[in-house]
Amino acid sequence: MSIVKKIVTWARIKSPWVLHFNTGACNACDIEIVASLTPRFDLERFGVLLKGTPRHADIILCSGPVTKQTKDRLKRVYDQMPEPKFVVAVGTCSCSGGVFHDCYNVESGIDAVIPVSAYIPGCPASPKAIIDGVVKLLQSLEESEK
Amino acid sequence: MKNEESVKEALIKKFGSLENLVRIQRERRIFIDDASQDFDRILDFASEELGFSVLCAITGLDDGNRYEFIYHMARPKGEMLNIKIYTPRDGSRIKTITDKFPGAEIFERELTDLLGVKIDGLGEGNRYPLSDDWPKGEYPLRKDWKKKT
Amino acid sequence: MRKVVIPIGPQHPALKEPESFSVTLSGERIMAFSARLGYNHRGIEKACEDRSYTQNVYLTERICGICSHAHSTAFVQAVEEIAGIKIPDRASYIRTIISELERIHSHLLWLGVAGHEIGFDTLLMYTWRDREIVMDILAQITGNRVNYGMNTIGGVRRDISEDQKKNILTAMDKLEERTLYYITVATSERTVIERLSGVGVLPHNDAVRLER
Repeated sequence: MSIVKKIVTWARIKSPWVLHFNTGACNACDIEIVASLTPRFDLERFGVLLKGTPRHADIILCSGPVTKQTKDRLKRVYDQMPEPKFVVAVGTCSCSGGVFHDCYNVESGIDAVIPVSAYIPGCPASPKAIIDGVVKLLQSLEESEK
Repeated sequence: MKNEESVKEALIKKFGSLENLVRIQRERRIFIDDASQDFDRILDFASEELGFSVLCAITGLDDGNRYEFIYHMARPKGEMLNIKIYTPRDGSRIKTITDKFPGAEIFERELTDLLGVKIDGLGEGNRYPLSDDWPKGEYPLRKDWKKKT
Repeated sequence: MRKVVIPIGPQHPALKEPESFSVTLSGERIMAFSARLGYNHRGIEKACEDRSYTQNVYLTERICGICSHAHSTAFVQAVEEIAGIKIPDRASYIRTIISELERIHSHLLWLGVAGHEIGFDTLLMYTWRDREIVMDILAQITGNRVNYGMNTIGGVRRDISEDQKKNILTAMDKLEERTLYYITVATSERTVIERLSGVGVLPHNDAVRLER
């Protein structure tokens, strides 16, 4: 591939910027995501930066089962991200609905609304699992770009 | 239990209809089991004379035959007075208390959305907590409502 | 000054949960405000009706991830009162210890988040680093960092051994001296005072009137 494309791919894999969106969760997975950016676990050594707007982000970390109110918002936020983009579903609730799968205000999981690249199970997903998942996603990107 | 006993005596002295209906569950928890008759005056008396001036929450239940509403009032030391009223299931209506308790609005909106109670005196406002495109006439917290698959 | 309406929508860098606010500003004074809540509504009350009592102990824990023990304790105490069950004293003490540990880590959490909101990221990193001491203790006693399934109808599921007791006491000593340092930082550090004093003041009369 051309030299420009090589540099762009290298930058994307070595320093992905993430966006965090909570679609109706109980907050445990969100706190574990923020905890993985603090000194004990330190996701920032992989070059990960937490950004505030979808238009700057490469990866979106979603937590929580999708409630009827947040369904449209999730689709809109996903559409606002520039290509190429990746979705990581953090926690059992966003993988499949978790304990809330048959509640009246809940759709089943995130993959009913947007396509998902990586699933990280756990209730809540511990920071070690989140780091493992993000690193595996980056490694698979590196494999596929070769 | 001194404080709780004095509250019970004051209520029975002022409202004879509450003779056997005031119950002390355990320390700091007092229940009025049916205040449907004189509810407005009981609420005023409790909040102004007895010092229960903080509204904590309004709970609505459906026990199959009628609706029950519990108004949880608290005093600064932590004692709570729980006032229950009942309405029949069909055409249930209660009066709003937002004129004296502005913070009651959010609990009353939840009752109209989830149980389908009509509240006289509550103005127009956003739905809470259901979404804007939830179909009208579906009240999830009623005992005979089942989720449509 | 002209008025500007700013939506603080469901996705926002300052929010950890989805809520939607519409704030009308004139300069930096808030003129009007409206809120649209309910994005997190999952219908847990209705779901509890379809599950058994034991399943509900674990469902009520997942109402909130930071205060999970408080919700499940409230549910279990209500069931025990209706059934007339008296729990052993040791179980009561263990429930209190877990609740107090949860309160400590929850307060350190919001102190860090408050620092992050005003731009003081160092406070976030320091307090969350010390919060990990409490999470280690909780993981030792209950097996999980959050959503510990410690309660059951009639008591608690696990006991605290002598070794764990010693670890808790050592950790509390370390935490106490660090917390005293944070109290000094939060109340007498000049940047914090300049940033926060005089902002968002609610007069006493309004507070008493709106308390109802």
